[in-house]
Amino acid sequence: MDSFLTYHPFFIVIVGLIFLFGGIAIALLLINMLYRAIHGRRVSYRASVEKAYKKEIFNYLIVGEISDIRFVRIEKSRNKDLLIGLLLELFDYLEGVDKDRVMELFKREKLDAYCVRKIRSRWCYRKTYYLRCLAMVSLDKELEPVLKDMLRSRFMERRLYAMQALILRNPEDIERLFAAYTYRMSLWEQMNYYLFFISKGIKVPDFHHLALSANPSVALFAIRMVRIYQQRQGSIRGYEILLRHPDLEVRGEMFRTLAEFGYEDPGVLLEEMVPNASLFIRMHIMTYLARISATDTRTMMRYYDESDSIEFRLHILYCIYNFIRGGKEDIEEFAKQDENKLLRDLSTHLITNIV
Amino acid sequence: MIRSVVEMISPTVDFLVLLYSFALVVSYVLMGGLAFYGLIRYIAKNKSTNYNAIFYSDSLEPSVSVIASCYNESLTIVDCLHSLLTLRYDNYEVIVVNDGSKDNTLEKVCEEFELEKIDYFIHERIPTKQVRGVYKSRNKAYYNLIVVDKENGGKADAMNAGFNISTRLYAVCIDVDSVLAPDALLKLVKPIIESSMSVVASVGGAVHVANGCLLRRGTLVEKKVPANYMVRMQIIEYLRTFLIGRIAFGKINGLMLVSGALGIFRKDLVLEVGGYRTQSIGEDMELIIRIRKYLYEHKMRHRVVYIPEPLLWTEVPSSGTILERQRTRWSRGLIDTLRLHKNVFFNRRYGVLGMVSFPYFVFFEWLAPFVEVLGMIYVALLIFCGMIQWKVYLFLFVFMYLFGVCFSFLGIFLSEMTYPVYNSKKDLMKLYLTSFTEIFFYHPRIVYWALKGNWMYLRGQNKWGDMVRQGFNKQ
Repeated sequence: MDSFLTYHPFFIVIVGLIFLFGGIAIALLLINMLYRAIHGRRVSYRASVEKAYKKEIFNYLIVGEISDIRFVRIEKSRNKDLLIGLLLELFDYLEGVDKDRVMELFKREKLDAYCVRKIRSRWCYRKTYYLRCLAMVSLDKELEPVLKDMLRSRFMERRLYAMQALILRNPEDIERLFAAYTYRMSLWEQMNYYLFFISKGIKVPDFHHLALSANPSVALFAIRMVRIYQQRQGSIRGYEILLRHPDLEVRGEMFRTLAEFGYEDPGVLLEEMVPNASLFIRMHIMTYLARISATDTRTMMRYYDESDSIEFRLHILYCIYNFIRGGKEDIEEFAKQDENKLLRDLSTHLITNIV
Repeated sequence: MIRSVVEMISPTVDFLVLLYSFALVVSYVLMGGLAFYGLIRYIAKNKSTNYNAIFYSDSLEPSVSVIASCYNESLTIVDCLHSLLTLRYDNYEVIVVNDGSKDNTLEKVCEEFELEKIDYFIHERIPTKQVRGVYKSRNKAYYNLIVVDKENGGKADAMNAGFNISTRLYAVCIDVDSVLAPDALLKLVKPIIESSMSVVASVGGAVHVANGCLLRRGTLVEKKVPANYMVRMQIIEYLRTFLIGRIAFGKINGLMLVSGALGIFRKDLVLEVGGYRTQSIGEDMELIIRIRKYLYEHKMRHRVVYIPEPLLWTEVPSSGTILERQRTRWSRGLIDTLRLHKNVFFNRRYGVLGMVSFPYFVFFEWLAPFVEVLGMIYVALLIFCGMIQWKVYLFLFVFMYLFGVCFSFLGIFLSEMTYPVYNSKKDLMKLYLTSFTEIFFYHPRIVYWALKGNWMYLRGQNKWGDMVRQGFNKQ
């Protein structure tokens, strides 16, 4: 049987592939070199445009009228992007009248409509960036439908910035927007929302209603906001449902919150939970118990003796040391005794390293 | 006699070799496409990321231990620790494990960072060699530094000791002869905290070559391509591996390797599977496979993520002798890991890992040097028997050569377009021109070392060998 290497079509394929990959290699090299050459010129062009724009903006902010402003070659997309970047940077630092004047510039150049056009464009791969821009400035009402569409995007970052943009437009809608949020909210999103609230000075609602959301991640976020914004209310009895929440993280966060709020009189509720809960929850329960004034070292050491987990035992000792009256002295005694080696080692470790 | 045998087997061998080459080319092309798409998506998603959200999160960010093992690293240890202690992240500690160094590594560290021996309770969840002492600094500026001195047990053993000492949720394992980018922890942690549906078992980052670069107080201030040919070739290799291979596998959730030089792990998972395997030479790959197997077996949706941004700069071997030690070790590590986990091979239970990644590593990483050498022997036989069709083989050779060059170019190109490293056009041209020479001067040595590694493994030679450091160029 002849080898098919001698077959003419096979040969043609090989020659074709040689040209193809050779061509790709040359193209990659040339594009790279061209990009370098252009990039250098683009950087200096950008610097000169930026300088000109800054001069216009600062003159306007200090003395000028908006009608006197002339942004050179603003019709080009990259110059619009440059201007957006400059204005948003100023927006973060300015307040009051100056901030309003920057917003006027934003609207005069129709940069919000430009951002929306980019978001709507099928080919734009920087939609997240433009959404983030819109999230930093307030909007006209007619731009809201685009953002509401983005709330259903499968990309988390787009949902995040669309939500922020809508919240900025209508801060009183925070509760409604989060209540309708059906996706699982990641920790990253929660961090971003918190940063957004504090950087924009948003007046946040009472998050207690959202803590009862059917979406566990929204409930978790709400509990964290309740804790961070110190929205303490009622007694522990109001939080029972959350202490029994099916989601592990929600329960843990609730105990953490109760510990920080210092609610007393847990009743039998916590005692039922300790043997059955995970390590994560039990540690939060211990923190909570330790911060209640009636709890003493003896009660805490009962939980210590019932557990085999080193992490849990160390955490109990930590709580005794930091939160129990006379606990510091008790731990120092534990570090000196010889009857229980593990207790001695853990206490010494605690005093030397953690405390 | 030989001629008749060659005549008999020739069509079959031609077919098999070409089938193999075709599969290799197709898989590389697919990887190139996936890598390109993956990079665009990553940049589009992360270009406008505000990492301050992690800083102002009111201690919601995950706690991290940065674990670095060191053995005879007196030249580089101080610079590396300075860079580790100035990372942009709030909630982290640095654990350095001195794995029984014979030089003055520990003394240098103690002097520089004002360390003193302390009482420390070690919860030994993973058995390790004996820990001789734990040190912390008297100076509050280094409050988050812990140095562990232990008996020599190898890198895996040292890392396990670090896991035992760690009190945080996540552990970043790095090589101490490396410089971490200041915001590396932020970038490594981000995929973890933005995942809402699946467990992120591990995140790896791109590793770049630090040889020839200038270091000042733990930060790289100038990046240059050195004149050393071996180092330049490794730069190209690293760019190909990290910007094509890893991104492509990361995109299909098929990563089975997070570089031992830089990777973040969920500590509870590492402890659950028993930490690094000390008898293994390819411990980094072996750990990832074990973690993934565990998660598949427990039916837990998970991902191993890869970040294409340059997060770590490491010194690579600059001499053939040291490079040989490294590559034979990698080869032994690969075969050891594949052998240990052979039940993953084409096993549907392990999803993409079993059906795509593992077979790829078997056929195109482990077997490739054998196929190459067998191919060369076959060609030699054809020449000997006067049966060689010069035109055909010449064209095939040209094709494979250009294909290799094209992929090296792609790695360099992707680096330039996304996270450019080298400012000088001259450095860039050096890399492109060096790519043309790989097949003649570098690749044959790599193949030889891979085969040698396999032979050493078969003979039971499983030592690491000494890695000689030159240290960074300092200003």
